[in-house]
Amino acid sequence: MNTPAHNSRYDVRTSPLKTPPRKLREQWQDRLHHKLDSAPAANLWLFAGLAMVVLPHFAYQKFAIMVCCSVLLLWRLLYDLKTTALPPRWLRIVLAFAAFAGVGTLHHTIFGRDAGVSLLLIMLCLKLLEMKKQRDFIVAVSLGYFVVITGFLYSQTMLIAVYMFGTIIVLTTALIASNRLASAWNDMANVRLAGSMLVLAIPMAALLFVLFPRLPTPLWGLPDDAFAGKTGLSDQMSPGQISRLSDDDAVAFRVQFNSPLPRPSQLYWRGPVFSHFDGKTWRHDTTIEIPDTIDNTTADTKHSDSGAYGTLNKQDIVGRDTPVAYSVTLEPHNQRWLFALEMPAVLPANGKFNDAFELLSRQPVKKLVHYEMRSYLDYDLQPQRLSNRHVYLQLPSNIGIKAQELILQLITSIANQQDRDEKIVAAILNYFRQQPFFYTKQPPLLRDDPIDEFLFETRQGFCEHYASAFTFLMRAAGIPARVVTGYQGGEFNTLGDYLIVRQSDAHAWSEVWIAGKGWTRVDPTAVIPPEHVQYQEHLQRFRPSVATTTVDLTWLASTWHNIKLSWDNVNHFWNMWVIGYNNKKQNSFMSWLGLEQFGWQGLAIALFSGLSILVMLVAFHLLYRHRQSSDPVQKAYQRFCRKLESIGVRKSHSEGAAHFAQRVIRQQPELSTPVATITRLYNAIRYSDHDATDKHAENELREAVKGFHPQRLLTGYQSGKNNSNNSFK
Amino acid sequence: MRFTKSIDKFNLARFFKAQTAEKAPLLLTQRRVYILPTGAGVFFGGLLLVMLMGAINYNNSLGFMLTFLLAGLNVISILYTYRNLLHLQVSTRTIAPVFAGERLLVPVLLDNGGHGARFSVQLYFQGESPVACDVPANSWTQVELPLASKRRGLHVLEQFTLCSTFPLGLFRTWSPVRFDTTYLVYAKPAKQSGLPQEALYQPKQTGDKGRGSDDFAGLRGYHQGDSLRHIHWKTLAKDQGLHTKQFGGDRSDELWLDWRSLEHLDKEARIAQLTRWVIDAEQTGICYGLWTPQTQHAPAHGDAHKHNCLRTLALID
Repeated sequence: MNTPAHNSRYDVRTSPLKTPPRKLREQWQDRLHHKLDSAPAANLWLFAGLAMVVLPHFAYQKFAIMVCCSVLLLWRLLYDLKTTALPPRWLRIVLAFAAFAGVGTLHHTIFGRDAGVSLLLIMLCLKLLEMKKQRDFIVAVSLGYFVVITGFLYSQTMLIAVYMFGTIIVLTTALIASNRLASAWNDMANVRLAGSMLVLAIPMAALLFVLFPRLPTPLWGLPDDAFAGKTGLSDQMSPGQISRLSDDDAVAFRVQFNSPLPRPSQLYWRGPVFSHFDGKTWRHDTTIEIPDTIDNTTADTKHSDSGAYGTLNKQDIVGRDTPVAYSVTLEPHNQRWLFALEMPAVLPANGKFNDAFELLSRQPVKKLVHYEMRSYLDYDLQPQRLSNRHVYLQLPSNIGIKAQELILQLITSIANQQDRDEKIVAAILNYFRQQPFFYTKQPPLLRDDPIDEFLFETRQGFCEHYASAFTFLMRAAGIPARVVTGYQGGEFNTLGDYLIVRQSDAHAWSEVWIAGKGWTRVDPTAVIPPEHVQYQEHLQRFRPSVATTTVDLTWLASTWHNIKLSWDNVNHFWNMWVIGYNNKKQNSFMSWLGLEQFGWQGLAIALFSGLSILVMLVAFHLLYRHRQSSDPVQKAYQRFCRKLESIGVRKSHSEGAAHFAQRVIRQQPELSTPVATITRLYNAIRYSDHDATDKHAENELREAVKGFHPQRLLTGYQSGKNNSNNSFK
Repeated sequence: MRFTKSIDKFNLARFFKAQTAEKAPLLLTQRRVYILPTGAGVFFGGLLLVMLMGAINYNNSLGFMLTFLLAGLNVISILYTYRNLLHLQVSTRTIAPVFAGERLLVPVLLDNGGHGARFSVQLYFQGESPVACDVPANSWTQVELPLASKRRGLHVLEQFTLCSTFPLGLFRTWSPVRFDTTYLVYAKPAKQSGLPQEALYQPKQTGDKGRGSDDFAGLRGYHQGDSLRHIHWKTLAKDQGLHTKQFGGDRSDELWLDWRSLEHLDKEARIAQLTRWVIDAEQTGICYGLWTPQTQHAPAHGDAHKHNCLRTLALID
């Protein structure tokens, strides 16, 4: 018995050419397989599912908590692989308390979104360490499902949705495996069953998703950190403090135009407006344009339409063309700005103006917002009067001394001329154009005096530097001016017919107030000559333009670009119709169906009837669909058997046709003639030397089965019997 | 009026108790397969409600989607669980008799006519531990359900229940089944006390009953003076008393197990004693007859004879 083993051992010793690593690998594979086979299949699947559930949370939760979860999960896995023991009861209790304490210390609370999810994750992993009975297993899987839903509080992208669907399949497989008597871990039948159950559940889920009543407001208050971590434009601007402009490719908002696309140079998306400069940072002026940070519904009652907010006043904005119509789908950015082309002709449903013509939402934008807009591209803004003039002339002391000297020279040279203000604007723009000013995304830092250092020393910067310096110079010249930030341009997606505006399209420009014309937009960055731009691709950053796709791109690059555009198109659709599906969209969908006059009752009726139909379809598919044979003889015989089944007699598989017929006749003697005939015909075709081309017997069988009505025969027999009884009485 | 009538007719017990005994094989149609959520199913439903609340409050579209998907899964699992029993054909095979107090094994045949394999089907008699099995598609499986036997006699098989929670354990489907199949329980044998003595042996009419040593003729009870060489050690070792091997020609004694010889005992004790004798006599290999007031079995030997005797004893009124 031992000799072969001996031999092989000698073989290894005597021939060094043999490759032990391969053997070792096989050994390991064998050992792993053995370990996996010895573990309960359901537990392995549960481990896989929970690992998938936990994984995305590495991006959102504190690292220490995720490490704890991983350790606990692995502990359970090692136990199932018969490598370690489970912790004793006292240790589990200690661990549970430690988890509470740890989460409390890390988050300073055990309530709220982040702390709550952390606790849930740890408790789920701890639950695994005491899982013994089937009941514990179902609790663990249910909690797994629950953790999946908490992941959606952080991200709702399509990829996450697909990933989570995979997770649900794995968790469901675990549940199925736990309900099997015995099942191998690599039994794919369980996965297939989980998959087909979930696929059958999709239509119901879709129907509920569309028709389940959506509320316009939350049921109760949300925790403060409910939507933390969404970024967008800043509420202040400190030129020279940031040495690098971010290349964030994230989408800020998408725009669908209902009228012809405006010229690229007209695409200025107005955002935060800054009027107060303290020498380093531009901020809102606290007296007129601080956005109200109260975000609950009481804000609406406190601030009526007149008051701190300006309404859309016909005298303030005078359009000089027909407004362009478009709709914006804004990504959440946790601030209150709504972006629109300069200058809005209407207010969106939930929006208001403040005195600086910032378009503000009543609540911070914490989820995808969709609004219809109209804007005048050619307009006069407050042409007649300017209240708060002093606000727009404010200058910090001890800053920009040389800049003020520069302005003084300029003013004296064009003093008392007509259109003095316009000439000063033109002169300063000329100054930027002719002096060696450069555009770069990585400018040197500005230390003490961001104006003078930029204007006379570094002369390198991006839009913030130019807008800041220009606004400063205007104020020094006595012209009311302010900094406007927002986005410029965008990329037109020809596949979906909409414009994508990204975070990297963020821009800053100036507005100056000129008597008779009102607030006029001046973009000082746009005058930098192309040869002064560090990289050609940066031309787009400040040249008023819409990126025109596939102009100078190679074939490969253009293909890649098109793929990216298609992907964005899919995401746009996802955002519009899945993530952004809300009370409003539901109402418009209902009116499209013609059910809006029925209100929520209509919704309920549509929902219940739809669900009933779906359940019936699935029930029919699962319970009553018989796999039909393609052989006409077999088909006819199966039909015969089905007819007998309807009266409760079924052919068993261990039973031949003749046997079955005998049994039927014994049980229901009144059926003897047709049953015997059909069985004889069937057996004759099946088992005798039947000529396959002879269709006569087949037809006869088919006809006999067709005319066979066991139910009718039985009831007829019974009534006949009754009659005869009566006659004998 | 019709409604109240139907309430009167509504009988909750129907769901748990089969109404009439039926002939095997029995097809489980939808009229006799029931389904309700399990405790885990109720818990899962509660969890879905919590998830729905969360989705509404955060107005989280994917939260809604997931909640609805799991709700759909829940509904689909009702159908899958239900289908796990539906259209199974149940029948029993002949149930081997046991002695009173022993455990019966009831062979139940599950025939699966389609719809794919049935997994984790559990069967049990009330108060007995369940037996679980899988039934592959287009195939059948036989399981043996344990059942504590009652007193001696012929009994109609009690109701047993088929149930299943496959695939998700959130719902339990069940179907009570009662067949008109009968089973026989032999009387409980009395304690071992040796076969009756010589007095009850009746000489066979033919043959030669020499006490030769050529052929083994059977065993009889030990008499004083019997040679030690003829003692049947095997029965002694089995704790069945001292027996002597008899050798002789082709003539041997016939043992009559007689009801009348046990007059000092009451009826059940007599039956128990006769049952014990039948077992022992069959084991020793001699021919034995049984005399009871209703029935007499002529001396014979073999399993069929033993069964007939025990059956007679079991059925004595």
